[in-house]
Amino acid sequence: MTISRHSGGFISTAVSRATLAELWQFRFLVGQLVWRDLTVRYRQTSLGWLWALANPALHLAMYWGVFGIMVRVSPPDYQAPYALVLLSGLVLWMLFAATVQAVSDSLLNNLLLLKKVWFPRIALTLAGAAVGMVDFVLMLILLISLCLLGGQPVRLTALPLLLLCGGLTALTGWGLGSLLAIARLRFRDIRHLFPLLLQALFYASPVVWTPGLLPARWQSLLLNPLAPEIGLFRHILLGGPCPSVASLLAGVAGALLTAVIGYTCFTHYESRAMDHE
Amino acid sequence: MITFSHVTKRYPAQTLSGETLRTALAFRRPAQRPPFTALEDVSFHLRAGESLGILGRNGAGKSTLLKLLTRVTRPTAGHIRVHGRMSSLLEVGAGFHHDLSGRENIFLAGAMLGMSPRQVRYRLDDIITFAGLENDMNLPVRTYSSGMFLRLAFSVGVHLDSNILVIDEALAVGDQLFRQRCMERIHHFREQGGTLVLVSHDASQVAATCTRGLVLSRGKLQFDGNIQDALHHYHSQEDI
Repeated sequence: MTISRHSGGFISTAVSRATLAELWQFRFLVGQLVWRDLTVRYRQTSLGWLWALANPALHLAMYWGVFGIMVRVSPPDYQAPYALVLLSGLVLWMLFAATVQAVSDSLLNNLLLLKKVWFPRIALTLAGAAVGMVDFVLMLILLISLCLLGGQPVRLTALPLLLLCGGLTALTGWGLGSLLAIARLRFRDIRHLFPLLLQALFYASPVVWTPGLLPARWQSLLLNPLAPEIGLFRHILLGGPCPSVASLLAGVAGALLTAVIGYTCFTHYESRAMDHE
Repeated sequence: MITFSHVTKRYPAQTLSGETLRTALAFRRPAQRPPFTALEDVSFHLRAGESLGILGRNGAGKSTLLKLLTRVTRPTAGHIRVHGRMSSLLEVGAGFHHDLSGRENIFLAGAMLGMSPRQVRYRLDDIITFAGLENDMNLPVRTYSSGMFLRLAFSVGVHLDSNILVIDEALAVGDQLFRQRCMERIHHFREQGGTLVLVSHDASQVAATCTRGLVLSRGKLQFDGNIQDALHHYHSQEDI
């Protein structure tokens, strides 16, 4: 096997940035970083990899306890039990929140490394998003088992569409997280504001509520970028109303736009933000 | 091939309290440390196969030059052109995770240098033997002594398939035997036509490894030429 590829090289100026071709060259790094994060998280725990399932299960059980038993709502637009409506919204929300959190942490948590070694920095954000996706798939398996236990049939053909909903949600989270990763380097205040904003977005998204429960004058909340994804996700899993084509297209466009803006800002400001460190 | 053309690196003004929303929005500017020029108008050209020693006192801009060369920071003005695949030594250890085993860290560090798992596996035995850590590969790196840690990091960097090698004071690593092995490796690398950039305070080491020297002082390039003349210039400057 020959591995001699001496064609490497670069030009570095004040405005140069890592290219997509360079990211491709470093694709193994993304895999290694994901693997590192997952291994380190579960190593040295007595339950080990079981935590990967136990943790989301406990999380879902807790939310179900609070909103499913104590705060009883019966959404008019879904036939399925409220618990399942709630949990299906939650699974997507937790994917979004975890992605934003992990991606926005990715620069600050690796400062020491970033000051010493060069690699396309965007790899760190991609790894953060990929870890969130792994957790999402595990939660999806839990959720589908709950649906089957609750007498709600799930067709196997629905799986790709469910994953697509997750993918779009993660893409939105990744774009937003990339923006925040830069902003957090520059302005440390963001750390204090961020949990508050995330909490606000949680209540503004159709997670614990459904569009059918929304008073007419609050309908503008459905402009929320996560609303179409959650609506489609619930429609596939539990039946009930399907979001309009227009809102679905808006959801896809919103996710792509967020990702493009996040990526552009990240590659543009990443080096300058590091100079302040 | 490495070309620095009128490279200037200026670090932005810093406020004591760091950058906050309040200072960004305030009308009155807070007390600032003025912008700091670490390198000013540095130009040089290094052909493939040359070996360059960079000399200068603390704060002369050596580290900034290496950071620019390894792409960790970008120049404020001018441009840097590098042809070939670069490997920088010692800093590799920065990517190690303390809870992962030595073997796992080799794959992680290799990926940070752009190697695929297959390429790393191909070199794995060489890397482990060179570091002399055959019996410790499955232990987490946090149980390593600092010498073992640096040896492993160094070994990964030195085995990357590169034709430009950047070394920062790294040869002070490990015991006599390991240092000797490093020197042999570097000579081998030079014989294969590799390009070497070395920063060291050890004059004899620089003289033994490099053919050309740069002397930096307060961010400016003072001297560029033959290594013996560069060392002479550096020492005469020290006396002042």
